[in-house]
Amino acid sequence: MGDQIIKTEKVTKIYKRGRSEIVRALDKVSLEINAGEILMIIGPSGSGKTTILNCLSGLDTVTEGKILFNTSRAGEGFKIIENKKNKEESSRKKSSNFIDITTWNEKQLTAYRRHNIGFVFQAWELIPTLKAVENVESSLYTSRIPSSEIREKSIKLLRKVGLIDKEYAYPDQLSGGEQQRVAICRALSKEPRIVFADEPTGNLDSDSGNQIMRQMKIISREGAAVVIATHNMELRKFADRIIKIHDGQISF
Amino acid sequence: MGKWRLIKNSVRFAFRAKRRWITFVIIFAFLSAFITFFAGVFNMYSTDELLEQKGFYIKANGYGSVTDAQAQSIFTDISSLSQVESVALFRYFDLGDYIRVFGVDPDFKWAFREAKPSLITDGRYIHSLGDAVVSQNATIKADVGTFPGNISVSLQKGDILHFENPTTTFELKVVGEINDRIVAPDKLRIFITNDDFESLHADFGASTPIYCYSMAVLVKGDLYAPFNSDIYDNMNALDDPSEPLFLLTENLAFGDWLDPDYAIPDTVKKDRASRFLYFIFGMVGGILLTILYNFLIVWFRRREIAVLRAMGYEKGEIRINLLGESLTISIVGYFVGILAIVIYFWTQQMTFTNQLLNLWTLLISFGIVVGLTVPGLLLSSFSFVRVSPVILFKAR
Repeated sequence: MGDQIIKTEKVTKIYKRGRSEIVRALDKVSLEINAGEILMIIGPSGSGKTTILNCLSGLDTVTEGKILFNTSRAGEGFKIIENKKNKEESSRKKSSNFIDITTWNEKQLTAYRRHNIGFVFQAWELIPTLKAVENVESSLYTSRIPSSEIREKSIKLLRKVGLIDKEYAYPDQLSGGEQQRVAICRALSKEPRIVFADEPTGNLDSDSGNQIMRQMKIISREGAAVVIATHNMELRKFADRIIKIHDGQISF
Repeated sequence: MGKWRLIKNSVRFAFRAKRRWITFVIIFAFLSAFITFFAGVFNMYSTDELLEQKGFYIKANGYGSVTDAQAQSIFTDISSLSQVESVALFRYFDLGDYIRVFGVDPDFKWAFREAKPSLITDGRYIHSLGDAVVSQNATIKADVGTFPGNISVSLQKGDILHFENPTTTFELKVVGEINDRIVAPDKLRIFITNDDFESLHADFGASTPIYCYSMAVLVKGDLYAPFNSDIYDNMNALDDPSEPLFLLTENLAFGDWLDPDYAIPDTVKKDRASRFLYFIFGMVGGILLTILYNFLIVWFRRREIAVLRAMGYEKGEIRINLLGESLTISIVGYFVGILAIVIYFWTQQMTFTNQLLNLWTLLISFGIVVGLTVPGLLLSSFSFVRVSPVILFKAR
């Protein structure tokens, strides 16, 4: 396995449900994610799988604990936008190449996601008014890369996952498996260090599911870490490492 | 590059959400047409309806009943009345047996009720020196031999009227035809600027007298201040046979005038109030519509917004996306609305009023329609922030 990209230290996430019920979604979770591996987080519904993904990707905050991100090979163009408050802490942390993203503000977390994180969702979440190739391109529209290069790169990615002659189809003209492959291309187009996938095969038949998982395997072999949250035990065979989660607590 | 690409794509992709897009374009088209009609109506207060809103129009009793000198005298006296904002005289002289020339000040063209710009049927009104407007289907006649007026040539837009005598020449270009309301059978009526009028008279009609055809008196007061009653107070102050305006026109020393026609203050006031009220309802409706539209955009696109946020789009970049779609809708809707007005007029075989689709009406209504989208845009700007990417991890 490659370098550690993310490690967590006793991450706890507590939220309120209703007026008084307190839910401990994550309870002192410590784990690490390495480059080039498929890490599978397996657990039943409501166990905290999605909460882990939310917290690791900077979409949600933690109540306690640290999420340390290794900046030594942060995505190209990745800039840590520091404010005065955490500048000192950041420079101290930088000496060890790990920075605690829980101290970052929203702008920093947005930059973190933009340059390092790719997402694959259970329901694909393609933009229905964009063609397949435009969906892939959409994650690069904000970049400084010329449009022609973006187009070239996106078509190359789509062909790589077997979507030949479907580049200009709208999502509703594609099957579920094809849509998920477009979503994978979208996640990969910005060359992220980590791809978070939430039940990526949840809406697919087993053949399409296996095909998607093989794509995930290829991604990890090319150096990115792939973190998959699922309750489907059949996917275990694709994992390099498995973490079980139950009631917010993990076991290996 | 990134921002420009986002703007371009947000406009381009806005057209793709067909059902939503078409629905709102149609709604915006109706709104735009409504607003344009009202902008046109208000524009007409200072143009086509100027006299009906704040004016007295006084015609000479007949041909030659008010001389130029008498008109200039009454002009001075009426101008000095405290309620009066401006006075405009419309004069004429005869050039031979078949041509009657009228002088118009382009700044007061709307006060010449019998020959105002909305009566133009072809071409345009006089703007500058050398321009001439002739009465619709005009013919120019001449005497040949012993038969008076036995030669006639029709005149139309684009013709040049060339006047020549042993010492000088004078040219006027016919820029438009007008369905004027002046009764003067067998006379070609030519309308030119006052400056050209003076020159033409000096060079070619010095032996014929100048008479006054009519006079327009405008009272003081702001046409676009719905809560200001100056116009009505001034109209009421002058709208009385015992007031100086009436007394002056009845004094034969100033010529023989007909009784003034004037705007009826109460009617005008009610009319303006109701129009403003409809307009305000339209504006409020428009604002509600854009708020609804922008709310729906954020609602329909919340998963897209969540995806963009998850992908690392900054708030400003997402805002560009939403604004692009919203502005595209309102701008396209506006032009569809204008097109609908044009088609409606055309199918009804109605004469195009220059006023409804003049530049100012269009600019003002366009500004209003785009301005109406601002509250909606602000709403969507704030409400999309509440869309959390976390929803993406929940099944649809």
